[in-house]
Amino acid sequence: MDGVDDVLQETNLVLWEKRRTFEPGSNFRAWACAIARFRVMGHRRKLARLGLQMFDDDLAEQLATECEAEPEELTDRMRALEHCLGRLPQKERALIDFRYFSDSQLEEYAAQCGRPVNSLRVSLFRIRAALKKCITNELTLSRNRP
Amino acid sequence: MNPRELEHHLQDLFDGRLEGESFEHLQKVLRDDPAARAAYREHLHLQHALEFRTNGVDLLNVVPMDLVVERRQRRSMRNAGLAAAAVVAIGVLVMALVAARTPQPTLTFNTAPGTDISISHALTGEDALEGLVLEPGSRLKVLNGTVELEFASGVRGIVRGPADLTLQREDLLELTNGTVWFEVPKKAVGFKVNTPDLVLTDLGTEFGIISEANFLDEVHVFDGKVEVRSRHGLKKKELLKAGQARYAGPAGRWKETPVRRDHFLDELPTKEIEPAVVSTEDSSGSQLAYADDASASDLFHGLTPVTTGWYLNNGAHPKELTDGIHGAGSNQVPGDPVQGAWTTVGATAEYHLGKGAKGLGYDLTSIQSIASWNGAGFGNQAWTVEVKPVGGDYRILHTVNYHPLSSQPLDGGGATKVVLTDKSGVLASGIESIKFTASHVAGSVGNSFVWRELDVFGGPTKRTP
Repeated sequence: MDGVDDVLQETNLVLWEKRRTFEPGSNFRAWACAIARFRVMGHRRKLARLGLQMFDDDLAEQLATECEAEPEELTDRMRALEHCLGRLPQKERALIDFRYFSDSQLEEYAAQCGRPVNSLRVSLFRIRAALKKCITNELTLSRNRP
Repeated sequence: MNPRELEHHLQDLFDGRLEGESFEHLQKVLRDDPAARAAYREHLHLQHALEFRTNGVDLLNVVPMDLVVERRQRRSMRNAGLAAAAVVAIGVLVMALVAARTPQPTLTFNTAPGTDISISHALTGEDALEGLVLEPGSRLKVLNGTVELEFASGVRGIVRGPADLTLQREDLLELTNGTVWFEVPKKAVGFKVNTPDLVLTDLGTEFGIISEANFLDEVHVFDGKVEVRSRHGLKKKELLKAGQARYAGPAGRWKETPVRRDHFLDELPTKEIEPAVVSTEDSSGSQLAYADDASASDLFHGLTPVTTGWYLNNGAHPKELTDGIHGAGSNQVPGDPVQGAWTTVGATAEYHLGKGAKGLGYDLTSIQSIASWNGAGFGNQAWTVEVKPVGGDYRILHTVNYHPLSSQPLDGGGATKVVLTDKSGVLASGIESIKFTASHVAGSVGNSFVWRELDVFGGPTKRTP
């Protein structure tokens, strides 16, 4: 998610610069998201000028709206992720750590561990699917806990 | 698109490997199928959680824009389709993290009623600070009144104006002038205050600093310890403990002075404190302009003071302060070229009035001070007057800093007259002793001045103050 990181950094910068304009007591989330959306729209225009494929504006807006989450859900998801990561075998955990903790390419890791890149991609696919399923189960359990 | 295909497409999308027809196909499915969008949501949140877990706190640290640009140029931006995800990722991150880490200003302050201040900040434009906050580089001038400082570190301070201070760092305050009381908690040990005369390092304590133009800066320690170093001369260090007060002499040697707890406020006043003492100041280019104003009928007339630190050469003597005679111009009387008192910085004259007719001391209604000489600067005056009630301790009544002749030529000559009165009609009541301390004047040799006359008016106190 290369471009997203940059937009996020830029948005953080703008939020910091404009922090004095936030009125305590008003909706911080709405204020921050309004700034974030503005930055993302700018980013999308740049990508369009580069000729890169992207979801059209309507779908992007729809996805953004439907993907919103309350802070409690995010916290629950983080907690569930930690739990699920702890249940991964050592090799799979190492692959996830490399993929998300390192800036290096997957090819480097393939060379290090002596496995083909495609094999690693298949493994990542499977691990992420498993994590997603595990998180869903954890969230369900959490919500139904007496 | 079956669920497995959707899973592949979404994972490829988030890995930045989905292009061409596959991309368009996924877009169409997402547009039409709520279940596909729900799957997208699950992937987005997994990605977000993994990224956040990796970068969470660091994401809050704003990186310079040039670095952002550089990174952008380095990276291939294959993930054009993920722009929408940024809205969510940024929105949730900002909401969950930035809001929880709203930075506390380095220093906030409050003002007492009637306080007049001006602030300037290092940051300007869109970044300019708003409200009663100071960040490193901010300068606060207190024209009059009182200000309470609250550092993020827990240090508290009460500033009495006039004062001028600049926050250099979160743990370093530059105090150009002013009277400030500080309380430093253990967690903030090492807090520093610089003044024109000294560098102070707190070692966990409660202390006060007096820094006034033309006066030597003082440190008063009420609790704990502080380390002070003079910035001039010998630049000596001294460790001060509770109950000690010092000022650094011009050569950098530390000198004792009485601890004055009553000179400092440790709480913000809830109502306006109007200065009661009125100082009326006059100056003239003629050294004999106020020769006729010297009084021979005031409380001081004929009193011999207890003195320290005066120049006694060329006929000068502090007893001439209370003789009721201004004295001739310089070098006019053979054998007595200086017909006045000749100060040094820190010279003192202490007058004991006694307890008066009713044993209650004296009411002081006005104080008149005359300085003059034929050389510029020596006719200026700078001094502090302290009063001691019967059976009590000295307290500072007022400080005079009057330098109108400083810019005249050295042989220009001139005179100044300062009269102190009080709005109530009485400067101080029940007083048995009065002490004057000379300070720096500008434009003379050795910062000294020729003090011609000192008159204190009033009478015995009739009722218990």
